[in-house]
Amino acid sequence: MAFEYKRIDVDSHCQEKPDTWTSRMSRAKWGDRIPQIVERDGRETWMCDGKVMMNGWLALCHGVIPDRKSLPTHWRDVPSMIYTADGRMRAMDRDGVSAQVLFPNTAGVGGEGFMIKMDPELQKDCVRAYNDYLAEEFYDVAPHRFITLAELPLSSVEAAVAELKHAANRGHRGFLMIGATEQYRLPAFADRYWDPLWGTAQDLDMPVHFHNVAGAKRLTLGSEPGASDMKMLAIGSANSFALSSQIFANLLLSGVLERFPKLTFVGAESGIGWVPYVLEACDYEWERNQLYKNGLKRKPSDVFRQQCYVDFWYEQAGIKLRDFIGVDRILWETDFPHPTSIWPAADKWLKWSFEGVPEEDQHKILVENPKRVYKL
Amino acid sequence: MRFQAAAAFLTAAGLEGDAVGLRFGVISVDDHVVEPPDLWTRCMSRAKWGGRIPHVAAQADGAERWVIEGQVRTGSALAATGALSKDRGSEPQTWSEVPKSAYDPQARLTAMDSDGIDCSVLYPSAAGGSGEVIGAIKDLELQIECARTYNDWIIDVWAASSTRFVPQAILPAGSIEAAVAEARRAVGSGHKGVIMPAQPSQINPAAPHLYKPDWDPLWTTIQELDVPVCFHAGSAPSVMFEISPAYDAAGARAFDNVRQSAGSAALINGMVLSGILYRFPKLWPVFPGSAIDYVPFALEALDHQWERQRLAENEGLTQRPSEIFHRQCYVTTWREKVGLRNRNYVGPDRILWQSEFPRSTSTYPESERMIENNFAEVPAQERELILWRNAARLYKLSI
Repeated sequence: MAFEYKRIDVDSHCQEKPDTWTSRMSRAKWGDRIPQIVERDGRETWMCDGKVMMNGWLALCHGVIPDRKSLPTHWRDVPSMIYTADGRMRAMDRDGVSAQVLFPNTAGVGGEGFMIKMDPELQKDCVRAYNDYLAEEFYDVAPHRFITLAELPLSSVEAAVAELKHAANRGHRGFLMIGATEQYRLPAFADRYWDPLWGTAQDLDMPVHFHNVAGAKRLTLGSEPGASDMKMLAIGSANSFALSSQIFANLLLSGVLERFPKLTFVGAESGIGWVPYVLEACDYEWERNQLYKNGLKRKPSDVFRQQCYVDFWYEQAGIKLRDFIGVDRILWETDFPHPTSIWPAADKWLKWSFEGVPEEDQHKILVENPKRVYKL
Repeated sequence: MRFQAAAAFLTAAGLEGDAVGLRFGVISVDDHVVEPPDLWTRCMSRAKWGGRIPHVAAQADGAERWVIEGQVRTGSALAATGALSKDRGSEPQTWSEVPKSAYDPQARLTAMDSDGIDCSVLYPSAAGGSGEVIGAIKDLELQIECARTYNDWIIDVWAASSTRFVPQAILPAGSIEAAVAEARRAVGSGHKGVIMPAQPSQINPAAPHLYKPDWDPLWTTIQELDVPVCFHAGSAPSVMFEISPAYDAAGARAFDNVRQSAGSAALINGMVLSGILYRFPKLWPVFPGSAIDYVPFALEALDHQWERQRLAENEGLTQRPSEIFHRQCYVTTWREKVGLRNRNYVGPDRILWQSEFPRSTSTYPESERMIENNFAEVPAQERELILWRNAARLYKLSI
């Protein structure tokens, strides 16, 4: 009997377990450089190759902490519902979620965890361990409920292509890409350098995911020095969409989608309210600057509606413009268990967002569209 | 007045008056004057400043470029006048190629007539779209004098030519004290708004982060002067993606025009969540070049984060961010049609129209056609608010 999907959550974060890397990487080869939890200043922190990972957060999970503020400082206090398949499925059941897409936590929420000044060999092994961990602990346990995405060793396009092939064989349904490669001293994604990766992804039908700011480090405008954590998180989260929108504008004008017309791009934790802006502005500038003479034959908004997806979790205004965005292009997420997450109140937020939206469109957004993207 | 002769001539020609009669019902709240090469050199003391005065100099390749505080500005145009060129992109390389409507008030009025624009709120070009080039000058005294010279020129040449021009002053943003003093002086001399770089600390290390309470004296002053404070899109590099070298010139221009407005969302977020607008309830920030399409979403995101991070309890921000926006902020539209469908989330009284003459993104010379197209489904009353009434009220124009 086919599994019946009710709601598919296309962006949640899976907390890596303490032995994710230590049990899968060679200690003889890497020694203490392997990602692991260490005790520092009375609290536990993830370290990799002598560097603190993920801003020092042991487990970013404000959304499941009662006061949404006091994060666990020791692994014993990390709720198992964020790192075990069983615990996660129970949390999903509470919100009526049939299946969820898993993004990293410690490995970098946008896939950037192993990008900074990393030894390319170490990067390859860390990424492989993460991808195998997801496959073994989630995909193998409940393949119809967990949709896994691979990280890639982006320091070289050859290594990225090789890992993508491995990931596709291991059940992964897409991969994470950095949105502003220049910030990592890599060629821009408009550069032909990445073409082998786009080509392989297109052949394997693996959608490319930009998660939120996708590792971009700019936006230092955020908050003033000395601002509180709560204020920093609020400004940072609100500002992240200013970056998401530029990632997609950059993509639409880059020519990549023209060269790879069957490649799919997904904006996760993207929000959708900015999409009409990007489409109207890109169409306007495309026409004004006569870009159709420069190889961009299709109008940016048409390209978007053929090759891109975006998602939302709390918006209403953007949903009102779904005809313009393309109702087939919209996905839904909870961002479990992150600070902005709507868990466990998905019903309440969906009621707000779907005010006046016909059943048919709701079903497309919650079920049909994600089934198409992830071939469920 | 240094430009008295010109002003007197224009008055004699009957081109000056108090009230503006609207012929088209359109006020553009964001256009740029192009500063002539001798703007600063003719007014500032060569004996005192020598070659440090902003001036134009021919480079080895024959192109003329602005030289400011001794630095050749190779990255920016001599005159950003893309809307006036055939391919909407090419920019003049020498002053002799710059179209007159960029720098001459009379020629500008003719262009406005042909495009159906009654009034135009003025922003700089060489000084930086938000005065950030002048604000970045390290020598504070030089910075102050350059800002004053620009501001005087706007009053003496542009405002004196016609009440259809709405003059705005740039501020020496490298120093809070100097910015306060110049805001007072400029508004006293007739300026109707002040222009600030969105993040002075990024352009001038002497300036504190804009969201720190250090700037409160400036907000106090501007609130007291009761003029809008304008943060033009594109002046805070850190809210924008870099333009990839893989782009050709047209692609780079297109992406630049899209990224600038996208960055404005961050400026709005910052002005609200920093608490500044909570503390200064009669400060009127304008975000020219912001676009309105994503504003409904920006407000939803602000309210969502305010609630999720419990900023009422944690930070004392007791009202919802969207309420603060609706009470105080202004955003602008020019290329949007779909965005106007969601105008009620923004508030029709919060939206201003702009042309962005003479930059490449400008609606010129098709403003009338674009307005007809974009506003086709907007009721007359709201259309009037957006096209001129909001601007007339904000800038206290007698119409």
